[in-house]
Amino acid sequence: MKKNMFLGMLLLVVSALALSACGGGGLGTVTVGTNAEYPPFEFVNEDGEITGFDIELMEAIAEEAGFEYELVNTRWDGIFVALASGEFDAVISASTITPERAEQVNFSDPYFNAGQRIAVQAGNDSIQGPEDLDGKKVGVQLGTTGDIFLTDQTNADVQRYDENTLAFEALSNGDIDAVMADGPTAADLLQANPEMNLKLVDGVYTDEEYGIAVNQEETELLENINKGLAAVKESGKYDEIYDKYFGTD
Amino acid sequence: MTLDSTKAKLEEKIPINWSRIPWWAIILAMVGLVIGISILTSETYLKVIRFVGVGMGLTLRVTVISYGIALIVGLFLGLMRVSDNPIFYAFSTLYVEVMRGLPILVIILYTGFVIVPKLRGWTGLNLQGLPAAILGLAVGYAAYVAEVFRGGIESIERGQMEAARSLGMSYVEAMRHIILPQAVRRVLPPLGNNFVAMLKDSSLISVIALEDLLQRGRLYVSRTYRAFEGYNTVALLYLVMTLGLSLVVRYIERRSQID
Amino acid sequence: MTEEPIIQIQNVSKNFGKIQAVNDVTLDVHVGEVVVIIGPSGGGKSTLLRCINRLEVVDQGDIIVDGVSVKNTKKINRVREEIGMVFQLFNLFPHLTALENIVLAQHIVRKRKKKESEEIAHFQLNKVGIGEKWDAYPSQLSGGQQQRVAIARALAMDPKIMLFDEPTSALDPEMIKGVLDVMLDLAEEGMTMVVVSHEMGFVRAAADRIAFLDFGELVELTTPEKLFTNPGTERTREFLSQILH
Repeated sequence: MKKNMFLGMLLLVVSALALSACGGGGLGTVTVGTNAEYPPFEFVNEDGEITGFDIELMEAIAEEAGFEYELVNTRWDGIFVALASGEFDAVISASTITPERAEQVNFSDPYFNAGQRIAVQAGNDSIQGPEDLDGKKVGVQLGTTGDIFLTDQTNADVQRYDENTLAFEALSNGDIDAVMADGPTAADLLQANPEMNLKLVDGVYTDEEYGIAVNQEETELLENINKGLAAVKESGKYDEIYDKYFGTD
Repeated sequence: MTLDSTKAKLEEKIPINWSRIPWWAIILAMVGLVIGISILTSETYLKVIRFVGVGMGLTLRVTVISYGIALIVGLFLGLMRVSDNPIFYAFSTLYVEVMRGLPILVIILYTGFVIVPKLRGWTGLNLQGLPAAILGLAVGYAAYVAEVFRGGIESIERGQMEAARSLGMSYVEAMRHIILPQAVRRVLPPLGNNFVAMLKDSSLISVIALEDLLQRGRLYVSRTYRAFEGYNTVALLYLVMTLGLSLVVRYIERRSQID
Repeated sequence: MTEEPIIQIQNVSKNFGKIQAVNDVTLDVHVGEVVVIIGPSGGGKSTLLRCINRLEVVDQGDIIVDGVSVKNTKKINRVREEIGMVFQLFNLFPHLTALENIVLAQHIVRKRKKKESEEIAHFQLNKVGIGEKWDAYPSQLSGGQQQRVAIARALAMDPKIMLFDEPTSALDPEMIKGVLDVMLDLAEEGMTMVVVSHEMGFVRAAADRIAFLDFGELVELTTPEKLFTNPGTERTREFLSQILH
C-alpha cells in the first residue's frame, strides 16, 4: 500500500516537473527575478501576491511577445550577479540602466524614467539639495544608484541599509537626517505613510532609466521583450498601467 | 644507567602512532598556506583585502565591548538564577527564556528601530549607530552567558558551600571566595566559545547600517560585481578571526586544567 | 555538671518528604563532653548532627546551642563560628593551599589579620601532625592528610564545639588511626565533641556517652561500659553484633 502511494507521488512529481519545463513557444518558461520590496514597482500585497507596476508591465509584455514566465522573489543585493550566472533569465526590478551593469548583463529598451530624490522630515528646511548633505547622516539602500550617487558625488555620511523601508523608518525615527531613493518609490512610500511625517525635496538628481535586465546569452529573449514592450506602449496598455500607479502624481 | 645503555635507548626507534597525528590541522595549515600565498601575491585580492578589511576593526571592537558587557550582566543574571530569592529568580529566568527565544537578528532590529528611538524620545539619550549594535548584542548574549555561569556554579559540589557556611561565612562571602573562583575556572572554555559565536553574530549589525566586515564585503560586490573575490575575502577574514580566537580559547582551556 | 548543657536537642523531628529522618529526639551535650552517635546507615545520625549547625533545618522541636536557638536565622552565622565541622568527604577548598584553607575563614569571619591567621594556621597544622604540608594543594595530599587539614581548619576558628560526620569512613584503613589519634587528643584536651562514627575503638576510648539512633529514633543513650557489656535493648544488641566482628 505504502509502496504504491510512494510510486504514485513520484510519478506525479516527475510529470509536474516535466510539464513545467515546457513553456509556450521556443523559449521555455522564462525565470524572471525581482526584489518584491520596492513599491510601487514590485511588492507583496495583503493577499501575499507579488504585484506592482513592473509586474503588471511584465505580464503585458509576455502576453504580447507570447512566452511563459515565472516570477522569483529574491534579495536585491547580488541580483545582477545571479542574473549573470544564469540563475535567472531576466530581471525586472526597477533597475537603472548603467554602463557598469551593462558590462555584466544586457538591458531592454528603457521602460521608465526615474531620478533619485531626497526625503527629509517634514519640518526640516535646512536640506534643499545634495550640497546641503555634507556631514549629514543620509540613508540609502545598499548597492543602489542612490548609494553610488551619495558616495561619489556628495560628502554625506552614508548609512547603508538592506532595504529602503528600513532607511525610511530610520529617517522617521530621527536616526538619520535624509534618505535618497528612486523618486517614484519615495513618493509612493510617503503617500502611503503620512504618519511618518516626511517630505520630498524639490529636485530630481540623476536621470535614470529603468530597463529589464536579461542574461547576456539570451539574445532571443531580449528581442522578444523589446518587441513586447514596443507593442505594449503602442497599444495604450502602458499608459493604463502607468495611470494606475502614478496617476495622482 | 651506563653510558652505553643510555645511548642504546636513544637510538631505539620510536614507533609512530599514525592515528594520533592531527591530520586535520596539518591539512588545514597546508591549504591555508596555499591560499595565503596565492592571495598575498595577487593584486586583485590585495585590493579587496584593503577595501574590505577596514570593516574588521569595527567587527572586533563591537564584539569585544559587547561581550565585556554581556559577561558582567550575565554573571549577575547567573547568580540570580541560582538564588533563593523569588524575585531575583523570576526576573532572571524570564530574561533568559525571552532572550534565548529570540533570534539575535530580531533583537538587533528591535533595538535599532524600536528601543533606540523610544529611548531618545523619553530621555533624550541617543544610542543610534554603534551603541545600538553593542546594546543589542550584549543584551542578547547576556542570556547565554548567564546560563553558562549558572551551570558552572551548580557544578560545584554542595559540600563546598556547606564547608564554607559551617565556618561561619555568609552566602555572599562563600560565593565570592569559594564558589565563584572555582566556577569561573570551569566555565572559561564555554565562555570562550560564546565569544567566538558572538564574533560571527556581529555580522548581523549591518542591518542597522553599520560598516562591519560583512557590509564592506557587500559594498565591494555591489560596486564591482566581483562576488567571487569579494566573498572569498570576507569568508577568509572571518575565518582568520574565529580560528585565531579558537586557538586562544583552547590555550586558556589547557591552562585552566592544570590545577 | 551543674551548668546548662551547651547543646540542647529538644524533641527534634526532621523529614525529607515522606521519609522521617529524625523522629522526636531529645539529647543534651555538656561542655567538655564527647557524645558519639552510632547506628545503622540511614538511621538519621548525620541528619541530626547537621541540624545542630543548621545545615539541615529542623521541622519540629528546637536545638539551643550556647543559649541561641538554631531557628534564629539572623544569628546563625555567629552560632556557626562557634561550631567546627569535619565532613566525611573533607570538603577542603581545592583552589587554595592547606594554609590558605585555614587562613580564609579566620580572616573573613573572625576578622583576624593575615599574619595572625597564618601563625595560628601553622600552629594547628603542626598540632595535627602535618606542619610541613602547609603549601600543598588538597589534590597533592592523601585522604588522611586532607582530613587532618580539615580538622585544623575547623580548630583554627577556636570553636566551642566540634562536630564530626563520619570523619574516617572515606579513608583507607592505614590512615584511619592517624585521624582518630588527633580526635582523641582533642577529646583529652576537653573539647566538646559530637561524633557520628562506626569506629568502635574510638568509641570505647573517648566517648563519655553513646547515643544509638535507628530509624530516626533515639533508641538508647548510655555509657561505653554499659553499651559493650550489657546493651539495654534488643535493637542495640542486634546492631552491635553486626558491627563487632
